[in-house]
Amino acid sequence: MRIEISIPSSHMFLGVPDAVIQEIGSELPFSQSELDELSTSVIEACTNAIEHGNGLQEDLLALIEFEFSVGRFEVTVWDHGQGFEFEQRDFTKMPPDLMRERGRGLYMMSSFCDDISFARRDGLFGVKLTKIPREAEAPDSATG
Amino acid sequence: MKIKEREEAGVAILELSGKIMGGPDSEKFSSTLKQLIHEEKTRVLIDLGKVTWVNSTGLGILISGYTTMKRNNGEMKLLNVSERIESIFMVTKLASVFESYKDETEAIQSFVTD
Repeated sequence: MRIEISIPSSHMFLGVPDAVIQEIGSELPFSQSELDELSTSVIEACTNAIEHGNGLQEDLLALIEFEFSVGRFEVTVWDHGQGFEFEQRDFTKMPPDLMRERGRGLYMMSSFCDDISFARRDGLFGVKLTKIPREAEAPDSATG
Repeated sequence: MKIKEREEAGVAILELSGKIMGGPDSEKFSSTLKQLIHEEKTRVLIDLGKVTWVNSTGLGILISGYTTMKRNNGEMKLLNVSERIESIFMVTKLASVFESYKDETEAIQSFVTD
């Protein structure tokens, strides 16, 4: 199943994808900590999208696609920015300076999700986050 | 993010609520701490019990507050960190930086014994 929403590029809307994940996820076989991990990651992706991709221009929307089944929850966040050279970055390593105030977003997404990937489409840059429940019993191809 | 301030036994307690996520939150938190430093209140306990979530920008706000207090010979400790926020501290290794308590009395006492 699939839901799409768009949010203006303002911090005040970052709670919207969190609410969607918590609501939908409560009907799926994810633990609360797994939902929180996905939600934290999606908030990071949306923060990047509205700040860096859309430059906090409220008239530019961040598009958020939620695709979910019993065995998988995928969220893709699209913005209007140029993106970055993701092939050359290793997101799995924590930034070396523990007290650095910025620069943890991609590392957090990579740590909390089972997969992270990037794409470009129609002038948009997207990050796709995948979360699989640890105790999923159903095959991940089952939708609906 | 909203900030409610009170004081117990010489410790300034800032009760944060809502989301810590950047935007105006950074300036609001920073100016509150600067005011406390100006008033020579350098023992600060941040109560996160009513904070629903923190993003990486919010982490930066807390780190900035921590270093600001340290630079001014003060201390900033945390109270009532939820499981959701604790998991972020664990992943980012910030759990080793922030001193965190579940009990307010114990947290206040820790400032005295430091």
